[in-house]
Amino acid sequence: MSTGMVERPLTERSRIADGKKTRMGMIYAMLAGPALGLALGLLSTLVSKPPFSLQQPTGAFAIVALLQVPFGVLGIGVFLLVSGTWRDAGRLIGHPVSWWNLFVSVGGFVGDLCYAVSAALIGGALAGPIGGLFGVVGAIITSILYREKILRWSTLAGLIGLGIGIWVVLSGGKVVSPTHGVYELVGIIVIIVALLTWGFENFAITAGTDLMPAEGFIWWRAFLELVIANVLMFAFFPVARTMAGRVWTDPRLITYGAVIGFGWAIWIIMGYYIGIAYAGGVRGGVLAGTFGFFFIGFFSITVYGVPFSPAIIIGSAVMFAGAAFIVSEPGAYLARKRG
Amino acid sequence: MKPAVKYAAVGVLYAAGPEGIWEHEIYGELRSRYPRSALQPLREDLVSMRTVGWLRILQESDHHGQLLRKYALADHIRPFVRYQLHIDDVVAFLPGAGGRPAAGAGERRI
Repeated sequence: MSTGMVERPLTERSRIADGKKTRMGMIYAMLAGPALGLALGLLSTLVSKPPFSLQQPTGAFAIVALLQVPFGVLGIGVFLLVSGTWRDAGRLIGHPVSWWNLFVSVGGFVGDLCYAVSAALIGGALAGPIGGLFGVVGAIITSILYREKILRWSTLAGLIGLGIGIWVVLSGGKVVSPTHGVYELVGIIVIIVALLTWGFENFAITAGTDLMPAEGFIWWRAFLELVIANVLMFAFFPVARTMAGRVWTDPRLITYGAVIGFGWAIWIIMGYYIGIAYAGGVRGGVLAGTFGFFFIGFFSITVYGVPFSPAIIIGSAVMFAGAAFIVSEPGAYLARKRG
Repeated sequence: MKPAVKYAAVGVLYAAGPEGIWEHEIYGELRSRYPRSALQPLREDLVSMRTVGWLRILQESDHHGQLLRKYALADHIRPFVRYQLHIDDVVAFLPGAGGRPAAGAGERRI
Protein backbone atom coordinates (compact mmCIF):
# COMPACT_ATOMS: atom_id res chain seq x y z
CA MET A 1 0.00 0.00 0.00
CA SER A 2 2.87 2.34 0.81
CA THR A 3 4.34 1.95 -2.69
CA GLY A 4 0.96 2.91 -4.12
CA MET A 5 1.05 6.07 -2.02
CA VAL A 6 4.48 7.08 -3.32
CA GLU A 7 3.50 6.59 -6.94
CA ARG A 8 0.53 8.93 -6.61
CA PRO A 9 1.13 12.54 -7.63
CA LEU A 10 1.74 14.88 -4.70
CA THR A 11 -1.36 16.98 -5.32
CA GLU A 12 -3.46 13.83 -5.24
CA ARG A 13 -1.88 12.76 -1.95
CA SER A 14 -2.43 16.22 -0.54
CA ARG A 15 -6.08 16.14 -1.56
CA ILE A 16 -6.59 12.71 -0.03
CA ALA A 17 -4.97 13.89 3.22
CA ASP A 18 -7.31 16.91 3.38
CA GLY A 19 -10.33 14.75 2.62
CA LYS A 20 -9.33 12.31 5.35
CA LYS A 21 -9.11 15.14 7.84
CA THR A 22 -12.61 16.30 6.93
CA ARG A 23 -13.92 12.78 7.46
CA MET A 24 -12.17 12.57 10.84
CA GLY A 25 -13.86 15.83 11.84
CA MET A 26 -17.24 14.42 10.87
CA ILE A 27 -16.63 11.28 12.90
CA TYR A 28 -15.64 13.34 15.98
CA ALA A 29 -18.75 15.49 15.57
CA MET A 30 -20.90 12.36 15.63
CA LEU A 31 -19.07 10.77 18.55
CA ALA A 32 -19.76 13.89 20.60
CA GLY A 33 -23.50 13.20 20.40
CA PRO A 34 -23.97 10.82 23.35
CA ALA A 35 -22.13 13.23 25.71
CA LEU A 36 -24.59 16.00 24.93
CA GLY A 37 -27.52 13.60 25.19
CA LEU A 38 -26.36 12.57 28.66
CA ALA A 39 -25.82 16.18 29.74
CA LEU A 40 -28.83 18.03 28.38
CA GLY A 41 -31.11 15.03 28.87
CA LEU A 42 -30.31 15.22 32.59
CA LEU A 43 -30.73 19.00 32.52
CA SER A 44 -34.18 18.57 30.95
CA THR A 45 -35.15 16.15 33.70
CA LEU A 46 -33.85 18.30 36.57
CA VAL A 47 -35.22 21.62 35.35
CA SER A 48 -38.79 20.71 36.36
CA LYS A 49 -37.79 19.47 39.84
CA PRO A 50 -37.00 21.39 43.07
CA PRO A 51 -35.30 23.75 43.68
CA PHE A 52 -35.58 24.80 40.04
CA SER A 53 -39.36 24.37 40.03
CA LEU A 54 -39.72 27.14 42.66
CA GLN A 55 -40.25 29.63 39.87
CA GLN A 56 -40.10 29.35 36.08
CA PRO A 57 -38.39 30.43 33.92
CA THR A 58 -35.96 31.48 36.68
CA GLY A 59 -35.37 27.78 37.38
CA ALA A 60 -34.24 27.23 33.80
CA PHE A 61 -31.96 30.25 34.10
CA ALA A 62 -30.51 28.94 37.36
CA ILE A 63 -29.73 25.46 36.04
CA VAL A 64 -27.78 26.99 33.15
CA ALA A 65 -25.95 29.59 35.26
CA LEU A 66 -25.31 27.45 38.35
CA LEU A 67 -24.67 23.97 36.96
CA GLN A 68 -24.22 23.65 33.21
CA VAL A 69 -21.88 26.54 32.47
CA PRO A 70 -19.59 26.56 35.57
CA PHE A 71 -18.74 22.87 35.16
CA GLY A 72 -18.48 23.40 31.40
CA VAL A 73 -15.89 26.15 31.91
CA LEU A 74 -14.02 23.85 34.30
CA GLY A 75 -14.12 20.96 31.80
CA ILE A 76 -12.84 23.06 28.91
CA GLY A 77 -10.21 24.56 31.25
CA VAL A 78 -8.92 21.07 32.03
CA PHE A 79 -8.77 20.41 28.28
CA LEU A 80 -6.64 23.55 27.82
CA LEU A 81 -4.30 22.52 30.62
CA VAL A 82 -3.87 18.97 29.35
CA SER A 83 -3.41 19.99 25.72
CA GLY A 84 -0.95 22.73 26.67
CA THR A 85 -2.97 25.34 24.79
CA TRP A 86 -3.73 27.41 27.93
CA ARG A 87 -0.89 29.80 27.03
CA ASP A 88 -2.68 30.81 23.87
CA ALA A 89 -5.96 31.43 25.72
CA GLY A 90 -4.58 34.62 27.29
CA ARG A 91 -2.73 35.64 24.17
CA LEU A 92 -5.79 35.86 22.00
CA ILE A 93 -7.25 38.73 24.03
CA GLY A 94 -6.31 42.27 23.02
CA HIS A 95 -6.68 42.08 19.26
CA PRO A 96 -9.72 43.74 17.67
CA VAL A 97 -10.91 40.29 16.61
CA SER A 98 -11.19 39.17 20.25
CA TRP A 99 -14.52 41.04 20.55
CA TRP A 100 -15.89 38.11 18.60
CA ASN A 101 -15.60 36.12 21.87
CA LEU A 102 -18.16 38.34 23.54
CA PHE A 103 -20.51 38.19 20.57
CA VAL A 104 -20.35 34.40 20.45
CA SER A 105 -20.86 33.98 24.19
CA VAL A 106 -23.94 36.23 24.22
CA GLY A 107 -25.43 34.16 21.38
CA GLY A 108 -24.54 30.93 23.14
CA PHE A 109 -26.05 32.16 26.40
CA VAL A 110 -29.35 33.11 24.75
CA GLY A 111 -29.52 29.73 22.98
CA ASP A 112 -28.69 27.73 26.13
CA LEU A 113 -31.20 29.68 28.21
CA CYS A 114 -33.95 29.20 25.60
CA TYR A 115 -33.21 25.48 25.50
CA ALA A 116 -33.54 25.15 29.29
CA VAL A 117 -36.79 27.18 29.31
CA SER A 118 -38.18 25.07 26.50
CA ALA A 119 -37.12 21.85 28.24
CA ALA A 120 -39.08 22.97 31.31
CA LEU A 121 -42.17 23.50 29.14
CA ILE A 122 -42.10 20.65 26.61
CA GLY A 123 -39.39 18.33 28.00
CA GLY A 124 -36.07 17.29 26.56
CA ALA A 125 -37.53 14.45 24.47
CA LEU A 126 -39.32 17.01 22.32
CA ALA A 127 -37.01 20.02 22.67
CA GLY A 128 -33.91 17.93 21.80
CA PRO A 129 -34.82 16.75 18.29
CA ILE A 130 -36.24 20.18 17.35
CA GLY A 131 -33.21 22.00 18.80
CA GLY A 132 -30.92 19.70 16.82
CA LEU A 133 -32.09 21.43 13.65
CA PHE A 134 -29.76 24.28 14.62
CA GLY A 135 -27.04 22.37 12.81
CA VAL A 136 -28.96 22.74 9.56
CA VAL A 137 -29.72 26.44 10.16
CA GLY A 138 -26.03 26.94 10.91
CA ALA A 139 -25.01 25.03 7.78
CA ILE A 140 -27.22 27.23 5.60
CA ILE A 141 -25.86 30.45 7.19
CA THR A 142 -22.26 29.18 6.97
CA SER A 143 -22.66 28.05 3.36
CA ILE A 144 -23.97 31.49 2.39
CA LEU A 145 -21.36 33.50 4.29
CA TYR A 146 -18.46 31.19 3.38
CA ARG A 147 -19.72 30.71 -0.17
CA GLU A 148 -19.62 26.96 0.31
CA LYS A 149 -21.87 25.17 -2.14
CA ILE A 150 -24.29 22.80 -0.45
CA LEU A 151 -27.21 22.99 -2.86
CA ARG A 152 -27.33 19.59 -4.51
CA TRP A 153 -30.11 17.08 -4.96
CA SER A 154 -28.92 15.29 -1.81
CA THR A 155 -29.30 18.51 0.23
CA LEU A 156 -32.88 18.93 -0.91
CA ALA A 157 -33.62 15.26 -0.20
CA GLY A 158 -32.05 15.73 3.24
CA LEU A 159 -34.14 18.81 4.02
CA ILE A 160 -37.31 16.96 3.02
CA GLY A 161 -36.21 14.12 5.30
CA LEU A 162 -35.70 16.59 8.17
CA GLY A 163 -39.17 18.06 7.57
CA ILE A 164 -40.81 14.62 7.69
CA GLY A 165 -38.74 13.67 10.73
CA ILE A 166 -39.73 16.78 12.68
CA TRP A 167 -43.38 16.20 11.79
CA VAL A 168 -43.23 12.66 13.19
CA VAL A 169 -41.40 13.90 16.33
CA LEU A 170 -44.04 16.57 16.96
CA SER A 171 -46.76 13.95 16.65
CA GLY A 172 -45.11 12.23 19.62
CA GLY A 173 -45.35 15.48 21.59
CA LYS A 174 -48.68 14.52 23.19
CA VAL A 175 -47.01 11.62 24.96
CA VAL A 176 -43.70 13.15 26.06
CA SER A 177 -44.49 16.81 26.71
CA PRO A 178 -45.18 17.65 30.37
CA THR A 179 -47.43 20.57 29.36
CA HIS A 180 -50.10 20.91 26.71
CA GLY A 181 -52.03 23.54 24.86
CA VAL A 182 -50.67 27.07 24.97
CA TYR A 183 -47.70 26.14 27.20
CA GLU A 184 -46.62 23.49 24.72
CA LEU A 185 -46.93 26.00 21.88
CA VAL A 186 -44.84 28.58 23.79
CA GLY A 187 -42.25 25.88 24.50
CA ILE A 188 -42.03 25.07 20.79
CA ILE A 189 -41.70 28.76 19.89
CA VAL A 190 -38.92 29.18 22.48
CA ILE A 191 -36.99 26.17 21.13
CA ILE A 192 -37.35 27.62 17.63
CA VAL A 193 -35.77 30.86 18.94
CA ALA A 194 -33.01 28.69 20.44
CA LEU A 195 -32.35 26.85 17.21
CA LEU A 196 -32.18 30.08 15.20
CA THR A 197 -29.79 31.63 17.76
CA TRP A 198 -27.69 28.48 17.90
CA GLY A 199 -27.75 28.28 14.11
CA PHE A 200 -26.10 31.65 13.91
CA GLU A 201 -23.86 30.63 16.79
CA ASN A 202 -22.78 27.65 14.74
CA PHE A 203 -21.50 30.01 12.06
CA ALA A 204 -19.97 32.27 14.72
CA ILE A 205 -18.07 29.30 16.20
CA THR A 206 -16.87 28.30 12.74
CA ALA A 207 -15.60 31.81 12.07
CA GLY A 208 -14.11 32.06 15.57
CA THR A 209 -12.13 28.83 15.26
CA ASP A 210 -10.80 30.18 11.96
CA LEU A 211 -9.90 33.59 13.40
CA MET A 212 -8.47 32.57 16.76
CA PRO A 213 -6.57 29.70 18.36
CA ALA A 214 -9.58 27.42 18.60
CA GLU A 215 -9.08 25.96 22.10
CA GLY A 216 -8.73 29.31 23.83
CA PHE A 217 -11.62 30.72 21.84
CA ILE A 218 -13.92 27.90 22.99
CA TRP A 219 -12.92 28.50 26.61
CA TRP A 220 -13.61 32.24 26.45
CA ARG A 221 -16.95 31.55 24.84
CA ALA A 222 -17.96 29.43 27.86
CA PHE A 223 -16.29 31.66 30.46
CA LEU A 224 -17.96 34.85 29.27
CA GLU A 225 -21.29 33.03 29.22
CA LEU A 226 -20.67 32.11 32.86
CA VAL A 227 -20.07 35.75 33.79
CA ILE A 228 -23.00 37.13 31.78
CA ALA A 229 -25.45 34.49 33.01
CA ASN A 230 -24.55 34.85 36.70
CA VAL A 231 -24.51 38.65 36.71
CA LEU A 232 -27.90 38.86 35.01
CA MET A 233 -29.44 36.14 37.14
CA PHE A 234 -28.34 37.40 40.55
CA ALA A 235 -29.12 41.00 39.64
CA PHE A 236 -32.61 40.53 38.23
CA PHE A 237 -34.02 37.27 39.63
CA PRO A 238 -34.06 37.32 43.45
CA VAL A 239 -35.50 33.78 43.65
CA ALA A 240 -32.30 32.57 42.00
CA ARG A 241 -30.42 33.40 45.22
CA THR A 242 -32.53 30.89 47.13
CA MET A 243 -32.00 28.35 44.38
CA ALA A 244 -28.23 28.99 44.38
CA GLY A 245 -28.10 28.39 48.14
CA ARG A 246 -29.95 25.10 47.80
CA VAL A 247 -27.91 23.94 44.80
CA TRP A 248 -24.52 24.67 46.33
CA THR A 249 -25.35 22.98 49.65
CA ASP A 250 -26.67 19.79 48.05
CA PRO A 251 -23.85 17.41 47.06
CA ARG A 252 -26.24 15.41 44.90
CA LEU A 253 -27.16 18.45 42.78
CA ILE A 254 -23.51 19.47 42.48
CA THR A 255 -22.71 15.97 41.20
CA TYR A 256 -25.56 16.18 38.71
CA GLY A 257 -24.13 19.55 37.71
CA ALA A 258 -20.76 17.95 37.04
CA VAL A 259 -22.40 15.40 34.73
CA ILE A 260 -24.29 18.16 32.88
CA GLY A 261 -21.33 20.54 32.64
CA PHE A 262 -18.64 18.00 31.76
CA GLY A 263 -20.90 16.28 29.23
CA TRP A 264 -21.61 19.64 27.64
CA ALA A 265 -17.89 20.45 27.64
CA ILE A 266 -17.04 17.14 25.96
CA TRP A 267 -19.59 17.89 23.25
CA ILE A 268 -18.21 21.41 22.80
CA ILE A 269 -14.64 20.12 22.54
CA MET A 270 -15.36 17.17 20.24
CA GLY A 271 -18.22 18.61 18.24
CA TYR A 272 -17.34 22.26 18.01
CA TYR A 273 -13.61 22.43 18.43
CA ILE A 274 -12.52 19.26 16.64
CA GLY A 275 -15.59 18.62 14.48
CA ILE A 276 -16.01 22.14 13.14
CA ALA A 277 -12.30 22.95 12.96
CA TYR A 278 -11.62 19.77 10.95
CA ALA A 279 -14.77 19.33 8.91
CA GLY A 280 -16.04 22.90 8.67
CA GLY A 281 -19.25 24.55 9.85
CA VAL A 282 -21.45 22.74 7.37
CA ARG A 283 -20.42 19.13 7.84
CA GLY A 284 -19.14 19.38 11.42
CA GLY A 285 -22.02 21.61 12.49
CA VAL A 286 -24.82 19.52 11.00
CA LEU A 287 -23.49 16.31 12.51
CA ALA A 288 -22.65 17.74 15.95
CA GLY A 289 -26.11 19.35 16.11
CA THR A 290 -28.30 16.58 14.76
CA PHE A 291 -26.59 13.68 16.50
CA GLY A 292 -26.14 15.48 19.82
CA PHE A 293 -29.74 16.52 20.06
CA PHE A 294 -31.06 13.18 18.84
CA PHE A 295 -29.39 11.64 21.86
CA ILE A 296 -31.14 14.10 24.18
CA GLY A 297 -34.49 12.79 22.95
CA PHE A 298 -33.23 9.21 22.97
CA PHE A 299 -31.85 9.29 26.53
CA SER A 300 -34.87 11.24 27.80
CA ILE A 301 -37.33 8.52 26.80
CA THR A 302 -35.04 5.68 27.80
CA VAL A 303 -32.74 6.31 30.80
CA TYR A 304 -34.35 9.51 32.10
CA GLY A 305 -37.82 7.99 32.31
CA VAL A 306 -39.93 10.23 30.10
CA PRO A 307 -42.84 8.14 28.67
CA PHE A 308 -41.58 6.16 25.70
CA SER A 309 -42.76 7.32 22.30
CA PRO A 310 -41.83 5.43 19.12
CA ALA A 311 -42.62 8.62 17.18
CA ILE A 312 -39.60 10.37 18.74
CA ILE A 313 -37.28 7.54 17.74
CA ILE A 314 -38.70 7.12 14.23
CA GLY A 315 -38.82 10.89 13.63
CA SER A 316 -35.26 11.33 14.92
CA ALA A 317 -34.04 8.47 12.74
CA VAL A 318 -35.59 10.10 9.68
CA MET A 319 -33.94 13.41 10.70
CA PHE A 320 -30.67 11.52 11.05
CA ALA A 321 -30.98 10.17 7.53
CA GLY A 322 -31.84 13.67 6.29
CA ALA A 323 -28.78 15.17 7.94
CA ALA A 324 -26.61 12.40 6.49
CA PHE A 325 -27.92 13.25 3.04
CA ILE A 326 -27.01 16.91 3.53
CA VAL A 327 -23.41 16.19 4.50
CA SER A 328 -22.81 13.20 2.25
CA GLU A 329 -20.90 13.82 -0.92
CA PRO A 330 -18.34 12.09 -3.06
CA GLY A 331 -14.87 11.98 -1.50
CA ALA A 332 -13.47 14.03 -4.38
CA TYR A 333 -15.50 17.07 -3.26
CA LEU A 334 -14.69 16.78 0.43
CA ALA A 335 -11.20 18.21 0.38
CA ARG A 336 -11.41 21.59 -1.33
CA LYS A 337 -14.83 23.00 -0.65
CA ARG A 338 -14.00 26.11 1.28
CA GLY A 339 -11.94 29.08 0.31
CA MET B 1 2.94 39.43 25.78
CA LYS B 2 3.92 36.92 23.07
CA PRO B 3 1.45 36.60 20.24
CA ALA B 4 -0.42 33.30 19.95
CA VAL B 5 1.49 30.74 17.88
CA LYS B 6 -1.19 30.83 15.18
CA TYR B 7 -0.84 34.61 14.87
CA ALA B 8 2.96 34.38 14.87
CA ALA B 9 2.71 31.93 11.97
CA VAL B 10 0.44 34.37 10.15
CA GLY B 11 3.06 37.04 10.86
CA VAL B 12 5.80 34.93 9.26
CA LEU B 13 3.60 34.31 6.22
CA TYR B 14 2.68 38.00 6.05
CA ALA B 15 6.34 38.98 6.07
CA ALA B 16 7.19 36.35 3.47
CA GLY B 17 4.86 38.06 0.98
CA PRO B 18 3.53 36.54 -2.23
CA GLU B 19 6.63 34.35 -2.77
CA GLY B 20 5.46 32.24 0.16
CA ILE B 21 7.43 30.14 2.62
CA TRP B 22 7.87 26.41 3.28
CA GLU B 23 6.20 25.11 6.43
CA HIS B 24 9.48 23.89 7.92
CA GLU B 25 10.90 27.39 7.42
CA ILE B 26 7.94 28.84 9.35
CA TYR B 27 8.74 26.36 12.10
CA GLY B 28 12.39 27.45 11.98
CA GLU B 29 11.45 31.11 12.34
CA LEU B 30 9.27 30.45 15.38
CA ARG B 31 11.62 27.97 17.03
CA SER B 32 13.71 30.64 18.75
CA ARG B 33 10.62 32.34 20.24
CA TYR B 34 8.47 29.43 21.40
CA PRO B 35 9.12 26.14 23.23
CA ARG B 36 9.05 23.11 20.96
CA SER B 37 5.87 21.77 22.61
CA ALA B 38 3.99 24.98 21.80
CA LEU B 39 4.81 24.58 18.11
CA GLN B 40 3.39 21.09 17.77
CA PRO B 41 -0.05 22.23 16.53
CA LEU B 42 1.58 24.47 13.90
CA ARG B 43 1.05 22.09 10.98
CA GLU B 44 -2.55 21.63 11.97
CA ASP B 45 -3.04 25.41 12.12
CA LEU B 46 -1.59 25.81 8.64
CA VAL B 47 -3.85 23.13 7.17
CA SER B 48 -6.88 24.76 8.86
CA MET B 49 -5.97 28.18 7.50
CA ARG B 50 -5.57 26.61 4.07
CA THR B 51 -9.02 25.01 4.39
CA VAL B 52 -10.68 28.39 4.95
CA GLY B 53 -8.81 30.04 2.12
CA TRP B 54 -6.35 32.19 4.11
CA LEU B 55 -3.43 30.38 2.52
CA ARG B 56 -2.55 29.26 -0.98
CA ILE B 57 -0.36 26.24 -1.58
CA LEU B 58 2.39 27.30 -3.97
CA GLN B 59 4.38 24.07 -4.06
CA GLU B 60 4.41 20.63 -2.53
CA SER B 61 7.31 18.28 -2.08
CA ASP B 62 8.07 14.88 -0.69
CA HIS B 63 10.62 14.58 2.09
CA HIS B 64 11.18 10.96 3.25
CA GLY B 65 7.54 10.20 2.60
CA GLN B 66 6.36 13.34 4.46
CA LEU B 67 4.33 15.84 2.51
CA LEU B 68 5.76 19.36 2.77
CA ARG B 69 3.91 22.43 1.54
CA LYS B 70 4.97 25.93 0.60
CA TYR B 71 2.31 28.41 1.66
CA ALA B 72 1.57 32.03 0.85
CA LEU B 73 -0.94 34.26 2.60
CA ALA B 74 -3.86 34.94 0.23
CA ASP B 75 -3.89 38.53 -1.04
CA HIS B 76 -7.46 39.25 0.04
CA ILE B 77 -6.72 38.35 3.66
CA ARG B 78 -3.66 40.59 4.11
CA PRO B 79 -5.47 43.86 4.98
CA PHE B 80 -7.82 41.90 7.27
CA VAL B 81 -5.09 40.28 9.38
CA ARG B 82 -3.10 43.49 9.43
CA TYR B 83 -5.91 45.27 11.25
CA GLN B 84 -7.60 42.43 13.15
CA LEU B 85 -4.47 40.69 14.46
CA HIS B 86 -2.23 43.78 14.83
CA ILE B 87 0.07 41.92 12.48
CA ASP B 88 2.72 44.65 12.37
CA ASP B 89 3.34 44.13 16.11
CA VAL B 90 3.50 40.38 15.54
CA VAL B 91 6.05 40.77 12.71
CA ALA B 92 8.14 43.08 14.91
CA PHE B 93 8.24 40.34 17.53
CA LEU B 94 9.65 37.75 15.09
CA PRO B 95 13.43 37.18 14.95
CA GLY B 96 13.89 38.29 11.33
CA ALA B 97 11.97 41.53 11.87
CA GLY B 98 14.78 43.85 10.75
CA GLY B 99 15.36 42.65 7.21
CA ARG B 100 11.88 42.40 5.80
CA PRO B 101 11.05 45.31 3.55
CA ALA B 102 8.98 42.93 1.37
CA ALA B 103 6.08 43.01 3.81
CA GLY B 104 5.30 46.67 3.42
CA ALA B 105 5.79 46.50 -0.35
CA GLY B 106 3.38 43.57 -0.58
CA GLU B 107 0.78 45.50 1.38
CA ARG B 108 0.96 48.56 -0.88
CA ARG B 109 0.65 46.40 -3.96
CA ILE B 110 -2.89 45.39 -2.98
